[in-house]
Amino acid sequence: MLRGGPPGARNAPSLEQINAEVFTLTYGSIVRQLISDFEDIEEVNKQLEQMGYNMGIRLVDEFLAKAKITRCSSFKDTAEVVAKQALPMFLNVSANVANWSPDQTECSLILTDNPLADFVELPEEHRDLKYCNVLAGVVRGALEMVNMEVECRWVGDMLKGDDCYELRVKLKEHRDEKFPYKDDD
Amino acid sequence: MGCFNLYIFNRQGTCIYYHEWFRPKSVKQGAGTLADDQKQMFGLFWTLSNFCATLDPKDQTKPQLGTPRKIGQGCKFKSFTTSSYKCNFLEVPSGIKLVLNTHREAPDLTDVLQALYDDIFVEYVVKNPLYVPGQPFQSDQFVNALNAFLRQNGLLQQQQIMAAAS
Amino acid sequence: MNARQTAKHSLNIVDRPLTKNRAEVPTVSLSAFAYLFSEYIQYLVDRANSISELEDRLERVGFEVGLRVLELLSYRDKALRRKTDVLDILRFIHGPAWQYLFGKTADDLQQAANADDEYYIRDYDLLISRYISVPRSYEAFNPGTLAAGMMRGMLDSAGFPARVTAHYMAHKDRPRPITTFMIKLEPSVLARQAQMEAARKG
Repeated sequence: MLRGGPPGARNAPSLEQINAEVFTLTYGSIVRQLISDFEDIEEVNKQLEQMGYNMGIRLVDEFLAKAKITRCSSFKDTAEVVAKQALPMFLNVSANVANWSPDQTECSLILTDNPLADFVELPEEHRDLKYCNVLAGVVRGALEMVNMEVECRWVGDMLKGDDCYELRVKLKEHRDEKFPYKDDD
Repeated sequence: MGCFNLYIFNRQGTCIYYHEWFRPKSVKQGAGTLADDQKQMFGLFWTLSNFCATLDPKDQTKPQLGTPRKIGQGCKFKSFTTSSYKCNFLEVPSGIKLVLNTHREAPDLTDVLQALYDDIFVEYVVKNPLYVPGQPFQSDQFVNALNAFLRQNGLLQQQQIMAAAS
Repeated sequence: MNARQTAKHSLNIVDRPLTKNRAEVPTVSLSAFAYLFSEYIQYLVDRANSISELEDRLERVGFEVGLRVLELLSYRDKALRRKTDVLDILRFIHGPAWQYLFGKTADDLQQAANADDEYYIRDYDLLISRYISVPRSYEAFNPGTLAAGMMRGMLDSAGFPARVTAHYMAHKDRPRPITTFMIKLEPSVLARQAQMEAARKG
């Protein structure tokens, strides 16, 4: 069985591994199919985000279990956990959390290494494609499960010539738990 | 030592899984329907958690009774014991809640419930693509793994349940 | 064979430094792959009208992966010459290519007893099917179709067009079913093979 990953991921609990290139190529092929299914690139972006969201609401439990996380207290701490623990655990890369807004409700996850996008060159006609949008969806889905409603958008994309991938994450609401039943139920 | 029953609740308070090993007092004699029984159970630990956090002598934030809270905020309610049974509780950050009613002599089961979530629920339910997150599920694989896990932890010994119940 | 050949595809492979040895192959968690794969199957289930349409589309994803994998491997490994013999390429897929893709070689490789153009490759525990179970109404569907597509892609890229299908076989001594890949070569491949042998004999 393949094991391992970059040195930065040493602390991540070691899940069973698969060749990153197989993952990358499979993702690329899925993106191509979506492009031919939808034609409209904006729809493809939406679909990728939705698929990521569905993955996120599922993988959060595996993450919490494997990383032995018993509390997600603040948005600030949670962003660090995503960058330094969740990304290394699942994708063997880590991100930096930076560019906090003064009120601490918005930050950026910055990646320079992104296994989703290896081998990829965006052709001119697909300039508006948010190739890694699945990741934006994963973050939104996973955080929703810990009652943090966030909005994610790409503000940096190496496929479009930026120095890094920068995912802007904005906390819209940190929800309280609500008693779901009426008193007379 | 034995288990009576297990409830798994989602974030919305819906019981997504219920299993009964031994329950001499039927639901009909209690809440009436299983749905009401589950609702009562949810209300029980919800209220207890709330009271526990409010009465925490160590908490500096002094939350008022009934004020809204984030998941996992305040001290954690873990179990209560009655003269008849023990109720063991675990809430994880994604809002999933586990309730395991056991024989009253059961030790601290925090780690056992955590392992039940980590190794059984996640492996056999969450990773199964048929499971829709937050929706009730049925899974033979899960039941088998659950039984094996509880047996390993000495929590499924039928004889002792019977004795404990009498 | 050159990785640049794929420029006709809209999202192409670019050169990547040669991987020096197997231990350096970068990895991601199998979970990440499984969540992506499950989600894609769900996407197809919502859209496809039949199981065969579902399988066709999954096979096509695998096919594209297979094409590129063979290109990558032959580009990186100069010793890997263009294979001209059917058995050579099948042995390569069964061995090094499977090792690269799934961390282990496949288990059996055999020719069908009564058909020259049919081969079987078996995997007793196919990595990509491990966490995938399918809805009851989709029992006939085999997620190993993705790997069948990869196999066809590799064969096609090497100049051996074929049809590859994945089949489950329950085995009493194994917790998970065995995946059998049935490879049926196109007639042109056999004709060429015969020509080559005739030429060899002079």
